[in-house]
Amino acid sequence: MEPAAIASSIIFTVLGITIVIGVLAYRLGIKVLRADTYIVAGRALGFIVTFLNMAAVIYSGFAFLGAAGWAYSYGAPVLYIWVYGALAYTFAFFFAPRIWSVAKGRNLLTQADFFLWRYNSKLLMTLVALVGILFNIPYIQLQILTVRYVLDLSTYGALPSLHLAVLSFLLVVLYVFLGGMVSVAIANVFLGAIMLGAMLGGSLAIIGHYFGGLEGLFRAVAEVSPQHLAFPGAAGIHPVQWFITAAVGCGLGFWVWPQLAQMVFPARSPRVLRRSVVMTSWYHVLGIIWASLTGLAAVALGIKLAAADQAFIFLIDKTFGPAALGLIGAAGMAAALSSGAGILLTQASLCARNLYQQLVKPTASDRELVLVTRISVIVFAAIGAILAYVAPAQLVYLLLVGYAGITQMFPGWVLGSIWKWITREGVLAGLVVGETVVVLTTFVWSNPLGIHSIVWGLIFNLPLALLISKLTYREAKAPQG
Amino acid sequence: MGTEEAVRSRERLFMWLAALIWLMVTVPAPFLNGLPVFVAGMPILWFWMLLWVVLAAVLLTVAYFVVERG
Repeated sequence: MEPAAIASSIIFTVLGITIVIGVLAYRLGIKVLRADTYIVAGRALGFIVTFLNMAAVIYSGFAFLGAAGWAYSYGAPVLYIWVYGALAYTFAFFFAPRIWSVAKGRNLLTQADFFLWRYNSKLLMTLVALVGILFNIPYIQLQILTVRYVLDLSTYGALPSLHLAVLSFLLVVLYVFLGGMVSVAIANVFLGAIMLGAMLGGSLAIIGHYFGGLEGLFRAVAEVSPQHLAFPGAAGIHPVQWFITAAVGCGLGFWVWPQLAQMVFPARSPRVLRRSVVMTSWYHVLGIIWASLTGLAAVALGIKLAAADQAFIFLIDKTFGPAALGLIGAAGMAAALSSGAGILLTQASLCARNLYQQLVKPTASDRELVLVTRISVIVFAAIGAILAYVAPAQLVYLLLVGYAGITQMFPGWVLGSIWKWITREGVLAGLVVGETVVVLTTFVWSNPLGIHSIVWGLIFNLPLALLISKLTYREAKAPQG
Repeated sequence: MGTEEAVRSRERLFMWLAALIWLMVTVPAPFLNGLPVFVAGMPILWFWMLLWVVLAAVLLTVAYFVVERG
Protein backbone atom coordinates (compact mmCIF):
# COMPACT_ATOMS: atom_id res chain seq x y z
CA MET A 1 0.00 0.00 0.00
CA GLU A 2 1.26 3.48 -0.90
CA PRO A 3 2.31 5.68 2.06
CA ALA A 4 -0.22 8.35 1.03
CA ALA A 5 -2.98 5.73 0.95
CA ILE A 6 -2.06 4.45 4.43
CA ALA A 7 -2.04 7.93 5.96
CA SER A 8 -5.17 9.16 4.20
CA SER A 9 -7.16 6.01 5.02
CA ILE A 10 -6.47 6.57 8.74
CA ILE A 11 -7.42 10.24 8.48
CA PHE A 12 -10.68 9.58 6.66
CA THR A 13 -11.56 6.71 9.00
CA VAL A 14 -11.29 9.11 11.93
CA LEU A 15 -13.39 11.66 10.05
CA GLY A 16 -16.02 9.00 9.29
CA ILE A 17 -16.20 7.90 12.93
CA THR A 18 -16.56 11.54 14.00
CA ILE A 19 -19.49 12.13 11.66
CA VAL A 20 -21.22 8.94 12.80
CA ILE A 21 -20.78 9.93 16.46
CA GLY A 22 -22.07 13.44 15.79
CA VAL A 23 -25.17 12.22 13.96
CA LEU A 24 -25.84 9.41 16.47
CA ALA A 25 -25.58 11.89 19.33
CA TYR A 26 -28.37 13.85 17.70
CA ARG A 27 -30.51 10.76 17.07
CA LEU A 28 -30.03 9.24 20.51
CA GLY A 29 -29.32 12.23 22.72
CA ILE A 30 -32.04 14.71 21.85
CA LYS A 31 -35.60 13.92 22.77
CA VAL A 32 -37.10 17.39 22.34
CA LEU A 33 -35.27 20.00 20.29
CA ARG A 34 -35.56 23.34 22.07
CA ALA A 35 -33.33 26.42 21.83
CA ASP A 36 -31.56 25.64 25.10
CA THR A 37 -31.06 22.02 24.03
CA TYR A 38 -29.64 23.11 20.70
CA ILE A 39 -27.41 25.95 21.91
CA VAL A 40 -26.29 24.85 25.41
CA ALA A 41 -27.24 21.14 25.42
CA GLY A 42 -29.93 21.77 28.03
CA ARG A 43 -27.15 22.55 30.56
CA ALA A 44 -26.93 18.82 31.12
CA LEU A 45 -23.39 17.84 30.16
CA GLY A 46 -21.44 15.78 32.65
CA PHE A 47 -17.75 15.88 33.51
CA ILE A 48 -16.11 13.83 30.73
CA VAL A 49 -18.09 15.52 27.95
CA THR A 50 -17.59 19.02 29.35
CA PHE A 51 -13.87 18.44 29.86
CA LEU A 52 -13.06 16.99 26.45
CA ASN A 53 -15.42 19.33 24.63
CA MET A 54 -13.69 22.27 26.28
CA ALA A 55 -10.24 20.92 25.46
CA ALA A 56 -11.15 20.09 21.86
CA VAL A 57 -12.51 23.57 21.20
CA ILE A 58 -9.62 25.32 22.98
CA TYR A 59 -6.84 23.48 21.19
CA SER A 60 -7.47 24.27 17.54
CA GLY A 61 -5.57 22.99 14.53
CA PHE A 62 -3.53 26.16 14.64
CA ALA A 63 -2.50 25.45 18.25
CA PHE A 64 -1.80 21.79 17.48
CA LEU A 65 0.65 22.58 14.70
CA GLY A 66 1.45 26.17 15.59
CA ALA A 67 2.97 25.52 19.03
CA ALA A 68 5.67 23.32 17.50
CA GLY A 69 6.03 25.88 14.73
CA TRP A 70 6.58 28.67 17.23
CA ALA A 71 9.21 26.67 19.09
CA TYR A 72 10.93 25.91 15.78
CA SER A 73 10.89 29.53 14.57
CA TYR A 74 11.41 31.45 17.79
CA GLY A 75 12.37 29.09 20.64
CA ALA A 76 11.79 30.57 24.12
CA PRO A 77 8.88 32.85 23.10
CA VAL A 78 6.80 29.64 22.84
CA LEU A 79 6.84 29.69 26.64
CA TYR A 80 4.04 32.25 26.49
CA ILE A 81 1.78 29.46 25.17
CA TRP A 82 2.78 27.22 28.10
CA VAL A 83 2.17 29.96 30.60
CA TYR A 84 -0.98 31.65 29.38
CA GLY A 85 -2.82 28.32 29.36
CA ALA A 86 -1.91 27.75 33.01
CA LEU A 87 -2.93 31.31 33.89
CA ALA A 88 -6.21 30.95 32.02
CA TYR A 89 -7.14 27.76 33.89
CA THR A 90 -6.32 29.16 37.32
CA PHE A 91 -8.56 32.07 36.40
CA ALA A 92 -11.34 29.85 35.02
CA PHE A 93 -11.48 27.71 38.14
CA PHE A 94 -12.95 30.68 39.99
CA PHE A 95 -14.62 32.56 37.15
CA ALA A 96 -16.36 29.83 35.13
CA PRO A 97 -18.65 28.54 37.95
CA ARG A 98 -19.64 32.11 38.76
CA ILE A 99 -20.64 32.98 35.19
CA TRP A 100 -22.33 29.58 34.83
CA SER A 101 -24.53 30.30 37.87
CA VAL A 102 -25.55 33.68 36.45
CA ALA A 103 -26.35 32.13 33.06
CA LYS A 104 -28.31 29.26 34.55
CA GLY A 105 -30.36 31.54 36.80
CA ARG A 106 -31.37 33.88 33.93
CA ASN A 107 -31.48 31.30 31.11
CA LEU A 108 -28.68 33.10 29.24
CA LEU A 109 -27.70 31.17 26.12
CA THR A 110 -24.85 33.28 24.76
CA GLN A 111 -22.18 35.67 26.00
CA ALA A 112 -24.05 38.57 24.38
CA ASP A 113 -27.14 37.56 26.42
CA PHE A 114 -25.08 38.32 29.53
CA PHE A 115 -24.31 41.84 28.31
CA LEU A 116 -27.99 42.48 27.57
CA TRP A 117 -29.05 41.22 30.99
CA ARG A 118 -26.23 42.82 32.99
CA TYR A 119 -26.16 46.25 31.35
CA ASN A 120 -29.69 46.40 29.94
CA SER A 121 -28.12 47.61 26.71
CA LYS A 122 -29.01 46.32 23.28
CA LEU A 123 -26.14 48.39 21.89
CA LEU A 124 -23.58 46.52 24.01
CA MET A 125 -25.24 43.20 23.26
CA THR A 126 -25.14 43.91 19.53
CA LEU A 127 -21.50 45.02 19.69
CA VAL A 128 -20.51 41.89 21.59
CA ALA A 129 -22.43 39.65 19.17
CA LEU A 130 -20.90 41.36 16.14
CA VAL A 131 -17.38 41.19 17.59
CA GLY A 132 -17.90 37.50 18.38
CA ILE A 133 -19.14 36.77 14.87
CA LEU A 134 -16.70 38.98 12.97
CA PHE A 135 -13.47 37.99 14.70
CA ASN A 136 -14.38 34.32 14.40
CA ILE A 137 -14.93 34.36 10.62
CA PRO A 138 -11.20 34.07 9.90
CA TYR A 139 -10.91 31.37 12.57
CA ILE A 140 -13.42 29.18 10.73
CA GLN A 141 -11.51 29.78 7.53
CA LEU A 142 -8.25 29.02 9.35
CA GLN A 143 -9.58 25.66 10.56
CA ILE A 144 -10.49 24.68 6.98
CA LEU A 145 -7.06 25.73 5.75
CA THR A 146 -5.43 23.79 8.61
CA VAL A 147 -7.26 20.64 7.49
CA ARG A 148 -6.00 21.32 3.97
CA TYR A 149 -2.47 21.74 5.31
CA VAL A 150 -2.67 18.50 7.28
CA LEU A 151 -4.03 16.61 4.27
CA ASP A 152 -1.31 18.02 2.03
CA LEU A 153 1.44 16.94 4.40
CA SER A 154 -0.09 13.61 5.33
CA THR A 155 -0.77 12.51 1.78
CA TYR A 156 2.39 14.00 0.25
CA GLY A 157 0.26 16.29 -1.92
CA ALA A 158 -1.37 13.33 -3.66
CA LEU A 159 -4.98 14.46 -3.08
CA PRO A 160 -6.94 17.62 -3.96
CA SER A 161 -6.54 18.87 -0.43
CA LEU A 162 -8.58 22.08 -0.51
CA HIS A 163 -11.67 20.36 -1.93
CA LEU A 164 -11.31 17.55 0.60
CA ALA A 165 -10.80 20.00 3.47
CA VAL A 166 -13.97 21.88 2.56
CA LEU A 167 -15.85 18.58 2.15
CA SER A 168 -14.63 17.39 5.58
CA PHE A 169 -15.76 20.64 7.13
CA LEU A 170 -19.18 20.43 5.46
CA LEU A 171 -19.61 16.90 6.84
CA VAL A 172 -18.96 18.30 10.30
CA VAL A 173 -21.50 21.03 9.56
CA LEU A 174 -24.05 18.25 9.02
CA TYR A 175 -23.98 17.16 12.66
CA VAL A 176 -23.66 20.70 13.98
CA PHE A 177 -26.80 21.51 11.96
CA LEU A 178 -28.67 18.48 13.25
CA GLY A 179 -27.76 18.26 16.89
CA GLY A 180 -26.21 21.60 17.86
CA MET A 181 -24.22 21.53 21.09
CA VAL A 182 -25.09 17.91 21.96
CA SER A 183 -23.57 16.61 18.72
CA VAL A 184 -20.61 19.01 18.90
CA ALA A 185 -19.81 18.01 22.49
CA ILE A 186 -20.15 14.24 22.05
CA ALA A 187 -18.08 14.25 18.85
CA ASN A 188 -15.50 16.40 20.62
CA VAL A 189 -15.06 13.74 23.30
CA PHE A 190 -13.71 11.46 20.58
CA LEU A 191 -11.67 14.19 18.89
CA GLY A 192 -10.28 15.59 22.16
CA ALA A 193 -9.09 12.13 23.23
CA ILE A 194 -7.37 11.54 19.88
CA MET A 195 -5.64 14.92 20.09
CA LEU A 196 -4.25 14.28 23.55
CA GLY A 197 -3.01 10.81 22.61
CA ALA A 198 -1.31 12.17 19.50
CA MET A 199 0.28 15.20 21.15
CA LEU A 200 1.65 13.29 24.12
CA GLY A 201 2.47 10.00 22.39
CA GLY A 202 3.97 11.59 19.27
CA SER A 203 6.10 14.08 21.19
CA LEU A 204 7.42 11.59 23.73
CA ALA A 205 8.25 9.16 20.94
CA ILE A 206 10.20 11.77 18.98
CA ILE A 207 12.09 13.15 21.99
CA GLY A 208 12.84 9.66 23.32
CA HIS A 209 13.91 8.36 19.91
CA TYR A 210 16.37 11.13 19.06
CA PHE A 211 17.50 12.51 22.41
CA GLY A 212 16.67 9.96 25.09
CA GLY A 213 14.85 12.60 27.12
CA LEU A 214 14.52 16.30 27.84
CA GLU A 215 18.14 16.77 28.91
CA GLY A 216 19.42 15.39 25.61
CA LEU A 217 17.01 17.63 23.70
CA PHE A 218 17.97 20.83 25.48
CA ARG A 219 21.71 20.09 25.39
CA ALA A 220 21.43 19.54 21.62
CA VAL A 221 19.52 22.81 21.11
CA ALA A 222 22.08 24.64 23.27
CA GLU A 223 24.82 23.45 20.91
CA VAL A 224 23.01 24.03 17.63
CA SER A 225 21.12 27.24 18.34
CA PRO A 226 21.47 28.65 21.89
CA GLN A 227 19.43 31.73 20.97
CA HIS A 228 16.38 29.43 20.84
CA LEU A 229 16.63 28.94 24.61
CA ALA A 230 16.29 32.56 25.80
CA PHE A 231 14.42 35.76 25.01
CA PRO A 232 14.28 37.56 22.61
CA GLY A 233 14.34 34.19 20.85
CA ALA A 234 15.82 33.04 17.57
CA ALA A 235 14.24 35.84 15.55
CA GLY A 236 15.29 38.46 18.11
CA ILE A 237 11.88 40.13 18.14
CA HIS A 238 10.31 38.85 21.37
CA PRO A 239 11.92 40.51 24.40
CA VAL A 240 11.10 39.27 27.87
CA GLN A 241 8.55 42.05 28.42
CA TRP A 242 6.73 40.80 25.34
CA PHE A 243 6.57 37.34 26.95
CA ILE A 244 5.20 38.70 30.22
CA THR A 245 2.56 40.91 28.62
CA ALA A 246 1.52 38.30 26.04
CA ALA A 247 1.14 35.62 28.74
CA VAL A 248 -0.85 37.86 31.08
CA GLY A 249 -2.91 39.41 28.29
CA CYS A 250 -3.79 36.08 26.70
CA GLY A 251 -4.44 34.56 30.14
CA LEU A 252 -6.95 37.32 30.87
CA GLY A 253 -8.46 37.25 27.39
CA PHE A 254 -8.78 33.49 27.13
CA TRP A 255 -12.27 33.13 28.61
CA VAL A 256 -13.53 36.26 26.92
CA TRP A 257 -13.74 34.42 23.58
CA PRO A 258 -17.46 33.79 22.98
CA GLN A 259 -16.95 30.14 21.99
CA LEU A 260 -15.29 29.45 25.33
CA ALA A 261 -18.16 31.10 27.17
CA GLN A 262 -20.36 28.83 25.11
CA MET A 263 -18.42 25.78 26.38
CA VAL A 264 -19.04 26.84 29.99
CA PHE A 265 -22.83 27.18 29.77
CA PRO A 266 -23.66 23.52 28.85
CA ALA A 267 -22.11 22.06 32.04
CA ARG A 268 -24.50 20.38 34.44
CA SER A 269 -23.23 22.13 37.55
CA PRO A 270 -20.42 24.33 38.93
CA ARG A 271 -18.84 21.17 40.29
CA VAL A 272 -18.67 19.65 36.81
CA LEU A 273 -17.11 22.87 35.55
CA ARG A 274 -14.43 23.03 38.25
CA ARG A 275 -13.54 19.41 37.65
CA SER A 276 -13.38 20.00 33.90
CA VAL A 277 -11.14 23.04 34.31
CA VAL A 278 -8.80 21.02 36.54
CA MET A 279 -8.58 18.26 33.95
CA THR A 280 -8.11 20.73 31.09
CA SER A 281 -5.15 22.19 32.97
CA TRP A 282 -3.61 18.69 32.98
CA TYR A 283 -4.53 18.33 29.30
CA HIS A 284 -2.48 21.48 28.73
CA VAL A 285 0.50 20.09 30.64
CA LEU A 286 0.39 16.73 28.89
CA GLY A 287 -0.58 17.93 25.43
CA ILE A 288 0.43 21.29 24.08
CA ILE A 289 3.64 21.62 26.10
CA TRP A 290 5.03 18.36 24.79
CA ALA A 291 3.81 19.06 21.25
CA SER A 292 5.67 22.39 21.30
CA LEU A 293 8.92 20.62 22.21
CA THR A 294 8.90 18.81 18.86
CA GLY A 295 9.68 22.20 17.30
CA LEU A 296 12.88 22.33 19.37
CA ALA A 297 13.61 18.75 18.31
CA ALA A 298 13.52 19.87 14.67
CA VAL A 299 15.93 22.71 15.50
CA ALA A 300 18.30 20.36 17.33
CA LEU A 301 18.28 17.93 14.39
CA GLY A 302 19.16 20.77 12.01
CA ILE A 303 16.08 20.17 9.87
CA LYS A 304 15.22 22.92 7.39
CA LEU A 305 11.47 23.16 6.95
CA ALA A 306 9.58 24.96 4.19
CA ALA A 307 7.07 26.13 6.82
CA ALA A 308 7.59 26.11 10.58
CA ASP A 309 4.17 24.54 11.29
CA GLN A 310 5.32 21.35 9.55
CA ALA A 311 7.71 20.54 12.42
CA PHE A 312 5.57 18.01 14.30
CA ILE A 313 4.13 16.23 11.25
CA PHE A 314 7.47 16.20 9.41
CA LEU A 315 9.31 14.56 12.33
CA ILE A 316 6.60 11.95 12.80
CA ASP A 317 6.74 11.02 9.13
CA LYS A 318 10.53 10.96 9.03
CA THR A 319 10.81 8.88 12.17
CA PHE A 320 7.86 6.53 12.25
CA GLY A 321 6.44 6.36 8.71
CA PRO A 322 3.01 6.72 7.12
CA ALA A 323 0.84 4.95 9.72
CA ALA A 324 2.05 7.23 12.50
CA LEU A 325 1.76 10.15 10.09
CA GLY A 326 -1.86 9.21 9.48
CA LEU A 327 -2.57 9.14 13.22
CA ILE A 328 -0.97 12.55 13.81
CA GLY A 329 -2.64 13.92 10.69
CA ALA A 330 -5.98 12.66 11.97
CA ALA A 331 -5.32 14.36 15.29
CA GLY A 332 -4.40 17.61 13.54
CA MET A 333 -7.60 17.41 11.53
CA ALA A 334 -9.52 16.58 14.73
CA ALA A 335 -8.12 19.68 16.39
CA ALA A 336 -9.19 21.87 13.48
CA LEU A 337 -12.65 20.38 13.00
CA SER A 338 -13.53 20.26 16.70
CA SER A 339 -12.68 23.92 17.15
CA GLY A 340 -14.42 24.78 13.89
CA ALA A 341 -17.62 23.06 15.04
CA GLY A 342 -17.63 24.90 18.37
CA ILE A 343 -16.92 28.27 16.76
CA LEU A 344 -19.55 27.75 14.08
CA LEU A 345 -22.27 26.95 16.61
CA THR A 346 -21.26 29.99 18.67
CA GLN A 347 -21.45 32.34 15.67
CA ALA A 348 -24.83 30.90 14.68
CA SER A 349 -26.15 31.22 18.24
CA LEU A 350 -25.04 34.86 18.53
CA CYS A 351 -26.65 35.64 15.19
CA ALA A 352 -29.95 33.86 15.88
CA ARG A 353 -30.39 34.62 19.55
CA ASN A 354 -28.98 38.16 19.74
CA LEU A 355 -29.25 39.70 16.29
CA TYR A 356 -32.46 37.97 15.18
CA GLN A 357 -34.51 37.25 18.29
CA GLN A 358 -33.43 40.20 20.43
CA LEU A 359 -33.30 42.84 17.70
CA VAL A 360 -35.55 41.77 14.84
CA LYS A 361 -38.28 39.52 16.21
CA PRO A 362 -38.60 39.35 20.01
CA THR A 363 -41.74 37.23 19.63
CA ALA A 364 -39.83 34.46 17.81
CA SER A 365 -40.78 31.07 19.19
CA ASP A 366 -38.36 28.50 20.50
CA ARG A 367 -38.83 26.43 17.37
CA GLU A 368 -38.16 29.46 15.17
CA LEU A 369 -34.99 30.25 17.12
CA VAL A 370 -33.65 26.74 16.50
CA LEU A 371 -34.52 27.08 12.82
CA VAL A 372 -32.71 30.42 12.50
CA THR A 373 -29.70 29.03 14.38
CA ARG A 374 -29.58 26.10 11.98
CA ILE A 375 -29.82 28.38 8.96
CA SER A 376 -27.04 30.53 10.47
CA VAL A 377 -24.86 27.41 10.85
CA ILE A 378 -25.19 26.83 7.11
CA VAL A 379 -24.59 30.49 6.25
CA PHE A 380 -21.43 30.86 8.37
CA ALA A 381 -20.10 27.51 7.16
CA ALA A 382 -20.64 28.66 3.57
CA ILE A 383 -18.86 31.95 4.27
CA GLY A 384 -15.89 30.10 5.79
CA ALA A 385 -15.74 27.65 2.86
CA ILE A 386 -16.00 30.37 0.22
CA LEU A 387 -13.32 32.47 1.92
CA ALA A 388 -11.04 29.43 2.07
CA TYR A 389 -11.22 29.35 -1.73
CA VAL A 390 -11.23 33.00 -2.67
CA ALA A 391 -9.44 34.94 0.06
CA PRO A 392 -7.09 32.72 2.05
CA ALA A 393 -4.74 35.57 2.99
CA GLN A 394 -6.86 38.70 3.13
CA LEU A 395 -8.36 38.04 6.54
CA VAL A 396 -5.04 37.72 8.29
CA TYR A 397 -5.52 41.25 9.66
CA LEU A 398 -8.60 40.15 11.56
CA LEU A 399 -6.56 37.29 13.03
CA LEU A 400 -3.82 39.68 14.07
CA VAL A 401 -6.17 41.86 16.08
CA GLY A 402 -8.55 39.04 17.03
CA TYR A 403 -7.17 38.08 20.42
CA ALA A 404 -6.32 41.62 21.45
CA GLY A 405 -9.68 42.86 20.16
CA ILE A 406 -11.77 40.24 21.94
CA THR A 407 -9.86 40.78 25.19
CA GLN A 408 -11.11 44.36 25.36
CA MET A 409 -14.47 42.90 26.45
CA PHE A 410 -12.78 41.79 29.69
CA PRO A 411 -14.11 44.62 31.90
CA GLY A 412 -17.70 44.09 30.79
CA TRP A 413 -17.62 40.30 30.88
CA VAL A 414 -15.42 39.53 33.87
CA LEU A 415 -15.46 42.60 36.11
CA GLY A 416 -19.15 43.11 35.37
CA SER A 417 -19.89 39.63 36.69
CA ILE A 418 -18.03 40.40 39.94
CA TRP A 419 -18.70 44.08 40.74
CA LYS A 420 -22.16 45.61 40.68
CA TRP A 421 -20.86 49.12 40.13
CA ILE A 422 -19.49 48.45 36.64
CA THR A 423 -21.80 50.38 34.31
CA ARG A 424 -22.60 50.15 30.64
CA GLU A 425 -21.16 53.65 30.08
CA GLY A 426 -17.85 52.55 31.58
CA VAL A 427 -17.78 49.31 29.60
CA LEU A 428 -18.67 51.05 26.33
CA ALA A 429 -16.08 53.81 26.77
CA GLY A 430 -13.37 51.29 27.70
CA LEU A 431 -14.31 49.05 24.80
CA VAL A 432 -14.16 51.81 22.18
CA VAL A 433 -10.87 53.23 23.46
CA GLY A 434 -9.35 49.78 24.04
CA GLU A 435 -10.18 48.59 20.50
CA THR A 436 -8.78 51.80 19.02
CA VAL A 437 -5.52 51.38 20.94
CA VAL A 438 -5.31 47.71 19.85
CA VAL A 439 -5.63 48.69 16.19
CA LEU A 440 -3.00 51.43 16.59
CA THR A 441 -0.53 49.21 18.47
CA THR A 442 -0.98 46.40 15.96
CA PHE A 443 -0.87 48.18 12.62
CA VAL A 444 0.58 51.65 13.18
CA TRP A 445 3.15 51.14 15.94
CA SER A 446 3.47 47.42 16.51
CA ASN A 447 3.83 46.35 20.15
CA PRO A 448 5.51 49.59 21.38
CA LEU A 449 8.33 49.06 23.92
CA GLY A 450 8.00 45.32 23.27
CA ILE A 451 4.67 45.22 25.10
CA HIS A 452 1.87 43.19 23.51
CA SER A 453 -1.05 45.14 22.01
CA ILE A 454 -3.52 43.25 24.27
CA VAL A 455 -1.94 44.91 27.27
CA TRP A 456 -1.72 48.32 25.59
CA GLY A 457 -5.46 48.08 24.94
CA LEU A 458 -6.17 47.08 28.55
CA ILE A 459 -3.88 49.82 29.93
CA PHE A 460 -6.27 52.39 28.44
CA ASN A 461 -9.46 50.34 28.60
CA LEU A 462 -9.44 49.20 32.25
CA PRO A 463 -8.83 52.55 34.03
CA LEU A 464 -11.33 54.27 31.77
CA ALA A 465 -13.97 51.59 32.30
CA LEU A 466 -13.46 51.71 36.08
CA LEU A 467 -13.36 55.52 36.28
CA ILE A 468 -16.46 56.10 34.16
CA SER A 469 -18.28 53.31 36.00
CA LYS A 470 -17.48 55.00 39.32
CA LEU A 471 -18.68 58.35 37.98
CA THR A 472 -21.89 57.05 36.42
CA TYR A 473 -22.87 54.40 38.95
CA ARG A 474 -24.90 56.72 41.19
CA GLU A 475 -26.87 58.02 38.27
CA ALA A 476 -27.28 54.63 36.65
CA LYS A 477 -29.98 52.24 37.66
CA ALA A 478 -28.72 49.62 40.07
CA PRO A 479 -27.60 46.66 38.00
CA GLN A 480 -29.79 43.65 38.17
CA GLY A 481 -26.85 41.51 39.38
CA MET B 1 -19.64 19.15 49.08
CA GLY B 2 -21.82 22.06 50.15
CA THR B 3 -23.86 24.95 48.90
CA GLU B 4 -22.32 27.16 46.23
CA GLU B 5 -21.91 29.92 48.87
CA ALA B 6 -19.97 27.60 51.17
CA VAL B 7 -17.86 26.50 48.24
CA ARG B 8 -17.06 30.13 47.34
CA SER B 9 -15.91 30.90 50.88
CA ARG B 10 -13.49 27.95 50.71
CA GLU B 11 -12.22 29.24 47.38
CA ARG B 12 -10.65 32.39 48.83
CA LEU B 13 -7.38 30.83 50.02
CA PHE B 14 -6.88 29.26 46.63
CA MET B 15 -7.50 32.58 44.90
CA TRP B 16 -4.41 33.94 46.67
CA LEU B 17 -2.40 30.88 45.70
CA ALA B 18 -3.57 31.29 42.10
CA ALA B 19 -2.43 34.91 42.21
CA LEU B 20 0.96 33.66 43.43
CA ILE B 21 1.22 31.51 40.29
CA TRP B 22 0.52 34.53 38.09
CA LEU B 23 3.36 36.34 39.87
CA MET B 24 5.82 33.45 39.80
CA VAL B 25 5.63 32.92 36.05
CA THR B 26 6.03 36.57 35.21
CA VAL B 27 8.16 38.48 37.75
CA PRO B 28 11.24 36.17 37.81
CA ALA B 29 11.34 35.80 34.00
CA PRO B 30 13.74 38.73 33.35
CA PHE B 31 16.14 37.43 36.02
CA LEU B 32 16.16 33.84 34.77
CA ASN B 33 16.38 34.72 31.10
CA GLY B 34 19.68 33.67 29.56
CA LEU B 35 21.19 32.24 32.78
CA PRO B 36 23.55 29.42 31.74
CA VAL B 37 22.23 27.09 34.42
CA PHE B 38 20.55 23.77 33.75
CA VAL B 39 18.10 22.26 36.24
CA ALA B 40 16.72 18.76 35.73
CA GLY B 41 18.21 18.78 32.25
CA MET B 42 16.55 22.03 31.20
CA PRO B 43 17.70 25.65 31.05
CA ILE B 44 16.54 27.23 34.29
CA LEU B 45 14.11 29.55 32.47
CA TRP B 46 12.32 26.59 30.83
CA PHE B 47 12.47 24.52 34.01
CA TRP B 48 10.95 27.37 36.03
CA MET B 49 8.07 27.84 33.61
CA LEU B 50 7.37 24.11 33.38
CA LEU B 51 7.51 23.85 37.17
CA TRP B 52 4.87 26.54 37.66
CA VAL B 53 2.63 25.31 34.87
CA VAL B 54 2.63 21.89 36.55
CA LEU B 55 2.18 23.48 39.99
CA ALA B 56 -0.83 25.37 38.62
CA ALA B 57 -2.44 22.07 37.63
CA VAL B 58 -1.55 20.56 41.03
CA LEU B 59 -2.96 23.60 42.84
CA LEU B 60 -6.23 23.35 40.93
CA THR B 61 -6.47 19.65 41.67
CA VAL B 62 -6.00 20.24 45.41
CA ALA B 63 -8.35 23.24 45.26
CA TYR B 64 -11.01 21.10 43.62
CA PHE B 65 -10.95 18.48 46.37
CA VAL B 66 -10.81 21.02 49.19
CA VAL B 67 -13.40 23.38 47.73
CA GLU B 68 -15.89 20.76 46.59
CA ARG B 69 -15.58 18.36 49.46
CA GLY B 70 -15.01 20.81 52.25
